[in-house]
Amino acid sequence: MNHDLESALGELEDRAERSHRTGRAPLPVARIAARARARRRTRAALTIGGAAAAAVLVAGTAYGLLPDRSPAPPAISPSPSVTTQQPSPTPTPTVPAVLPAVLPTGDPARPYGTCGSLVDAPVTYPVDDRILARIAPDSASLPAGGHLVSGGEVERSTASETFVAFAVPVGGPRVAVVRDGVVVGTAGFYPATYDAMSSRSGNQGESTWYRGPLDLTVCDPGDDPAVTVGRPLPAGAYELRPWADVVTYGGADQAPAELAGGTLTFEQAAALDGAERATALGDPVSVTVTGEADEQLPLPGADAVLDRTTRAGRPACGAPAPATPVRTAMLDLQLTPAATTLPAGEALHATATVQYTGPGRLRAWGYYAVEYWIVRDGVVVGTTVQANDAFSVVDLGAGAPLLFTDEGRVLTSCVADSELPLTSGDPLPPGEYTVIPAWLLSGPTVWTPTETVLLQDPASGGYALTLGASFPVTLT
Amino acid sequence: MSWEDDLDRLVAERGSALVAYAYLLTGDLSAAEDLVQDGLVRTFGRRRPEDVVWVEAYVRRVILNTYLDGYRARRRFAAVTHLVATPETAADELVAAGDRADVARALTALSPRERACVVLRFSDDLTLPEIGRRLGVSPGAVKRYLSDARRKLEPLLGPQPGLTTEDVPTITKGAGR
Repeated sequence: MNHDLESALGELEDRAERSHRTGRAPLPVARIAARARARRRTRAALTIGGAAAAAVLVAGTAYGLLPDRSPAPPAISPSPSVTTQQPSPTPTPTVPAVLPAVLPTGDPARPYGTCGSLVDAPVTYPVDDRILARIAPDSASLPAGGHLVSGGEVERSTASETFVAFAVPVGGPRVAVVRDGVVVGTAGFYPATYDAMSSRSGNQGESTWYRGPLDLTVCDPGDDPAVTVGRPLPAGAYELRPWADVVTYGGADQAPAELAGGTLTFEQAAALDGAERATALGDPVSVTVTGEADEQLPLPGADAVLDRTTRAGRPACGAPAPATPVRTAMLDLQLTPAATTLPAGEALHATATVQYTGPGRLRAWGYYAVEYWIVRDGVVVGTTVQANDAFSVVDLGAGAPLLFTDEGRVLTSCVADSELPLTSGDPLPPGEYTVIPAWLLSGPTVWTPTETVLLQDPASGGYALTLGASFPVTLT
Repeated sequence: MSWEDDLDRLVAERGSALVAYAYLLTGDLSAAEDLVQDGLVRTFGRRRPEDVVWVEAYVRRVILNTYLDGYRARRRFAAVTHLVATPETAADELVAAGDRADVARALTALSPRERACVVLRFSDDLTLPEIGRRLGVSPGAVKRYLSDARRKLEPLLGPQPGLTTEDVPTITKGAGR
């Protein structure tokens, strides 16, 4: 027994080619072209988080050239320069409605990013520019006492040519809020005390896009009782500087397995073999606070009671249509179709938002698009869901919707030989239909300061979906 | 010429060759066809596919990475495997009928990364550093994958000197496919 693997593989390849050419149906070039066309439209139009353009988030060196159907964070538009500080409004001569906020003063001895540090303070660990922290606010201004809705991430730089396995904070980037060169506020999607790390080895499903409301309040330098800690930042221009403590594992093609599950702290992650502590930085972003306020508004969803039981069942091809809407995992899907009468075979365009409405934060694996189930005479007859192994993690706070703009999907019939119905690729014929919008996700988990709750139905086969309100569509 | 024309021509002229390449990775002709379709969609779904000069080579790269992505997706997200198009391993009539059936079956013993390394080594004729760059892993990791592949294949197929990981000029091949 001895096989020359090279020639054996060559023979196998030749045989497969002959077998395909002579005994199989040709590749469905029309369907491939249609999928590519839809993908080109989607990639051009898709935005998540309200920015104007989408950037492909790529995880892993070898995959840098690949398009990806993962949720795409918005590209960060160039920020206006913040080198010129705006003076705060002059107090009115009458008795002010609120007492003036007192901000921390700069202390050169404090490490980078901490309250009262200088913007040019040295970082605690060396900067590794292969890893970037990003912050992407929805707006450039906010009223004092309000929240700045923003997206963010800590991921490998797509500009980096060298692969690195690393670990990032599960809580996402930290944000130093800078005024006049001094950090006067510290913000983040999770509390600064949340210390857990997760791995990044270039595997699909690892990258995480955060959305949430950021508190812009006066931070506590710890040694100055005059500072009005917790007060909303006063009117003026600020610079938001994202950063994160990360751990790299040089030479490894996978981050250590111990990091799976996100249970190790930063110090524990930094104690693993080959670990090196590093700092990830990112481009600063400018925001302007307007007006004055005594108190910071509570976070959206702070008073909400966690709904642990509401879950949408999975529609089946040929089965009765589900009732809608259903807010699985307290996720509210709102969709506005551009038109509800359209020719059969043409895409149904719509804009949609998916918003978490509960307490704490919701983390789940999610897909890039809103899908549809199509109902006729009370029975599910179609869907737009395709077999799809592209996903990434979204981490949502209440009041910070994911935005899907100009989603265009052809309403197609479904195939019934799958537990979750998949599209047949065949456009539905003309007729009157009811369309149910849905967002697919898996493993929804709610984090609050006191508990972590997995909301996945164990019998769901891994998938959850939240259903928006159905609407009629006429195909002509 | 539009990108649709380019796609038509590529599928007509090289579609079966691409399926054959994907077959080496999947071991299943249907899965290979799905993989090629996904690779073509990903390639021509780019907004500027005309920037890709060597389209077939690019599609082959996408096929490889789609294959590995699918594996990673399953490994990280096993709960949703019923939506993943590519199975772990599968045999089909092509394997059963051929006198290379034992080789094809032996390949199913390899992990996806090991299998990808073997295909890149023998079918794409790459060196260890080139394989590493293609997979986004270090040359040392490639050595480990090939060494593991050799350890699994030799009991089934006999000595495999081509899988020796001491360095690695490219393998001399006959006429290119």
